[in-house]
Amino acid sequence: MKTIENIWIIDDDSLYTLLLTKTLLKLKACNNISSFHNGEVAIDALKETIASGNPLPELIFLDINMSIMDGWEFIEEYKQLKSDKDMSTVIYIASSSISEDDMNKAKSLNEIHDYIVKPINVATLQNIIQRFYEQK
Amino acid sequence: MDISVLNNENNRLTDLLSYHILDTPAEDEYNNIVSLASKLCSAPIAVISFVDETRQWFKAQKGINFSQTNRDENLGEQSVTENETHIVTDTLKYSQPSESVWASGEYNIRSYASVPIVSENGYVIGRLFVSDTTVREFTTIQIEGLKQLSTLISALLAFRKKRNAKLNANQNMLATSYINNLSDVVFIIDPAKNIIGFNRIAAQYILSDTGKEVKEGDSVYSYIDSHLTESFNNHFAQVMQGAKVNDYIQVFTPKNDRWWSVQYAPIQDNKKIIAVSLTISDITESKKTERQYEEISNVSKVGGWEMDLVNDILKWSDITKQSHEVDLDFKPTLEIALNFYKPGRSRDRIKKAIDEAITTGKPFDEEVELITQKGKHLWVRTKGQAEFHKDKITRLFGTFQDVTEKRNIYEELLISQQYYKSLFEQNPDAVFALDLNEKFISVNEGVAKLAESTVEEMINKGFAQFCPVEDAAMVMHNFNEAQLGKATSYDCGFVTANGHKKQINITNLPVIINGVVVAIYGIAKDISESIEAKNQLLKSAANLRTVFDNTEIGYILLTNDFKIVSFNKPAQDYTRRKLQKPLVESENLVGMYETDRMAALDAIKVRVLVGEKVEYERNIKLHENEDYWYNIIFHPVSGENNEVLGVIMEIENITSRKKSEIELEKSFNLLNEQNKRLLNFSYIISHNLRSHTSNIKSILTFLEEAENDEEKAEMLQHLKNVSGSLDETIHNLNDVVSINNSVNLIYKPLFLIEFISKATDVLKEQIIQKKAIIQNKLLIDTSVNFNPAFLESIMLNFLSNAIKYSHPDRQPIITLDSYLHNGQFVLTISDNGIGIDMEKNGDKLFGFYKTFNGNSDARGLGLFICKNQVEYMGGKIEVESTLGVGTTFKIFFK
Repeated sequence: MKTIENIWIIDDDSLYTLLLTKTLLKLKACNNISSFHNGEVAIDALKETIASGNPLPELIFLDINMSIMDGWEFIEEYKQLKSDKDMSTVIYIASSSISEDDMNKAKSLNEIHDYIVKPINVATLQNIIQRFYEQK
Repeated sequence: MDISVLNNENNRLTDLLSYHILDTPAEDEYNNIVSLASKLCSAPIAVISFVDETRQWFKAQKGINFSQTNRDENLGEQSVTENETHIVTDTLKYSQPSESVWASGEYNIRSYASVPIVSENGYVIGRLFVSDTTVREFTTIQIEGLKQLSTLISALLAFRKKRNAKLNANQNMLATSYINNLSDVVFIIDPAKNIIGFNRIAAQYILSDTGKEVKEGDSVYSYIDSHLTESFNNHFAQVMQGAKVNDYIQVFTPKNDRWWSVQYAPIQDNKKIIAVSLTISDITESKKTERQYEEISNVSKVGGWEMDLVNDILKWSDITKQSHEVDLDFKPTLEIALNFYKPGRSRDRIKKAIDEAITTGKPFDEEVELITQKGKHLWVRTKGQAEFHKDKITRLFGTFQDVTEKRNIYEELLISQQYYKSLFEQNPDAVFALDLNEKFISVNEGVAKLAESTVEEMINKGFAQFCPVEDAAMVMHNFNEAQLGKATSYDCGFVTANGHKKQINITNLPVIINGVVVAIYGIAKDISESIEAKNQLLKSAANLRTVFDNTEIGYILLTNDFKIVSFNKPAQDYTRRKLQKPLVESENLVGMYETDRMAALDAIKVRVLVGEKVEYERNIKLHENEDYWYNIIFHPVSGENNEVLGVIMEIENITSRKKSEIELEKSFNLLNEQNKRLLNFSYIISHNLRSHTSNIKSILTFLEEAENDEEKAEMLQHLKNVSGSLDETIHNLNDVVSINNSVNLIYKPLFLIEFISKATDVLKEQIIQKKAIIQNKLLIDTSVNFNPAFLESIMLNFLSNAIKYSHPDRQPIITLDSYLHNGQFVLTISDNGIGIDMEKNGDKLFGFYKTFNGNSDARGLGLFICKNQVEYMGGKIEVESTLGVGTTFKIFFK
């Protein structure tokens, strides 16, 4: 399996972040994995990355329910950044919410690639990475 | 099934049908309810079904693509009409008919919950149910929600029924006004052949013809002559198949020889024939003319004959042969022909006439009797004349005509004198002749009966002595007119020999001989009864007026120019209330309005005058607390060519209905709000529990695939942590659920000071650490009616938040104060802390968005709980805050 250069995990559940990171490493799917515990920290990091010209994340796993800045607000901010800078990041919502409202909202946003209900198992991850390459 | 169950089922069906809900198109209200039910229960399928005799019909459905099932295609084993909640968590535990749509692979139902829909009369007429394709449980909250939605459906149904009843009443009124204005007799007959409607003319007609008063619900057979029953049945059956039938018969009228055309037409409702209209028009005049033509053409059937004297051949025309009733190939001879004439005078005369014609050429024209081949006796007119050839008679020819009928009439005339005599004497009406001094010359039994006297007694008596004084002048005037040769007819009083008063109608005819009036012929009819009937009619018209005046709906009858023709009391009340002036007959309605409303009324007028029915609701607000709602309808009243002849303005006071509608909407919104909250709550619960379980699942995968003991130990440590937070989450959720479950909480007066000191006691350490100042501006005896446990939790939460989110650059000051808002006690808790970005987070402040994870923000849950507790007690919480300056929470107590 080919590797992805940069994957970001934006989630306030540190255990989940740890387990997902471990799985990704085990699959040897990625070289750099960064995690952020809410939307605000992530958006600040994104701004900095753009400013410094460092490589942007190619794949983001985004949680919805986070304090300070949640997933939806992150997407709003991301949209703003995208209007200035061309980015082709693939964003997946990964949430334990099974609310239809959340799923529909995710579907309505162009920036969101798909909606995954937690936990993300190995097969799902392999699938996501597979699709990531097919689209490239 | 025993009788009482059967009866109950029949009543239930009748009750269901009364809502007219079956087979109606989809409606938003019901669709919204199933969506809500589906969301509430997180179930893919939700249905509102109504159960009739044979099926379950779906008014609204989500997640399935069919709209009804057989009645017995039931999810489970319980009866659908049972007033119970049915919950099945796994359908495989029940035997199900395998052909059921529910069991088919497409839906594969594994669980469901179903609540009854109960009508106003207490019958279970349908069900609201949700089902799922997985084996699952339904929570108490979900079931309670379904029950509330079912109550909402019942309320919607009740409202629908009321609305339908009103619509029907309006339609009936319009139809009645239309058919009452027809000059034809109209009956409406239901499929059971009972009269369910008739117009005024029909009632009069039946009354005058049979003396019976026709009533709704009468069998139509009560008014049909027995010999017409069969043809009526035939026609009726055809019309019930949808045909339109015209028939010309003598109906309902055994007395006089009148012809009626009867038109049968089906009346349809939703393509179903629900009744038959019978329109009866008098066509006697045209029918009589038709009959006379027939008679004339019969009489003029003239045959011919000729006799060739050279070759001795007799020829008859076809008509002549028909008259003799012989075959058309019959070959007559003179001898045979003569033998048809009746022996004796007739045969002798015709023989003589023919002999003379042959010898002298004298033409003849004889009316004699003849006996046909089949032995029928006829009177015939035989005419003949001779044809000469070189002074020799070579041929006789002439006509032959059956004149039996004419002859019979002639013979009748001979005896008609007898008839006239008996007609006079036997006439049931009173017939009399007066001399020019108004004395009776002759009277019949009818007159004697009318006068309660005898024929002999009356002769030579003057008419005047039977005439009441008040009518004498009028009667005298009419006699004088008759003496001048004019026929007159008039009503007057009549006093019998025994002093009884009657009302009679007199027709006076002058008897004119050689241009001179010699006597007066009179016909008198006792009309006491019909006068009585007329008075009754006037009385019932007055009654109708009373009904018109006393109905709760206001009516203003307008000309097509909006001139006021008539109005009733409710209409007057409405106008006074709205325009502060009274309605006046023959004034223009438009002119009564304020100038700025005139244009609107003119616009309505334009629409009504093209035949449109205009309907709107109007709100009249008199004072702050006194407002009225009216439903206004302008009905065009159309003539035969659809031209608008007039307008009926209908004014219905719908204040109470409107208010209950508004109430209904309010409670609907409240329910919606509650359901939204419940739904939200169920997502939160699921989300919070799922985040832990998904972690557990991941850890277990790692554990299974762990490559060394170190990794295993790490994972076990994680598992321990997760189980700890899961426990905490469940504990927290318990707190929230317990608010919603606290049905019967104790309220009691509580001193706020006590609870403040209790809270500061608990928070002592934090207060000391942050050097916080608690300023209490409340009076020592300030008390609120509240639940102690809730108040304790509220105080603790707000004070601890105020301390926790204090500003790092200044000493925290927390102020407790109170004020009254519209009589409501409001507690304020202000701090000078870091404040909240209201624009960004205001809407989420009390929401339950935060997770309970270790790094989560505790404020989320605390405020959510406080808000629920306050709202549960009937109050509310408001917040004002400026970022970097401070926050004030306001708690409104009920």
